[in-house]
Amino acid sequence: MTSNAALTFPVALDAPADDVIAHDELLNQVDGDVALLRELIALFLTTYPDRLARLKAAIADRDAPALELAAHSLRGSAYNFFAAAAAAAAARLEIIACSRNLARADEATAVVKYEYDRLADALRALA
Amino acid sequence: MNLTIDRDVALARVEGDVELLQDLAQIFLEELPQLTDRLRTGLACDDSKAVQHAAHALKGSAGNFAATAVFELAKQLEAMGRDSNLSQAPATYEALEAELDRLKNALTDLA
Repeated sequence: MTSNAALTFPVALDAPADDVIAHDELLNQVDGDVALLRELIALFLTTYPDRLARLKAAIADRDAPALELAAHSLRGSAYNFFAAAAAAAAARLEIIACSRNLARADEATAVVKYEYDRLADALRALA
Repeated sequence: MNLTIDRDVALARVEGDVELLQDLAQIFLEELPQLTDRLRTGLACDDSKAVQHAAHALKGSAGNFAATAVFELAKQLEAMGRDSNLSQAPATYEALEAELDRLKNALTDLA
């Protein structure tokens, strides 16, 4: 594998909905504590619209450092739920932002929004 | 003979508790995508601290399973991150990825 290939991220646009979150891992993560899981979900659902808004503002301003930070913060929030497709989409955008070449940032942001909306839907269904 | 992990050493570290070792393997397999994600993003963004921290976490897990090759490569990446010199890191990461594939198979067999 070349180093470039090692740095690409698959973005699972066609993944079925039950692949959005790794449910078993998620329950293990909270030791089966459903109340804690609900709190984590509520926290995510409260904060993710603001995080997405920051992403959009950074895109509108063509502000690469702000975009990198916003994508980084979204990536971290997806890890809590073992949401691989959402995390990969945010990671791809973060890499674009840190390259400071935003030519592909709009498309990558659209994928991030798609994946995080899907994640939010899946979490709402769980809560 | 499986050279990827030293099962005897790994078992000795959990005082022979096979179930605990299997649990640790399961947790590691669940957390691995996040660690490799963090490493790849850190490398792509030339973020030495991110590489250092993710490599450190990976090194710790590899140590639990006496997975020497992964442990050594992660240790090298951690040092490169600490020294803020990632020039050789992509090549080391490639080698690490190949070893991680072997480790994943070995741990899946264990679990």
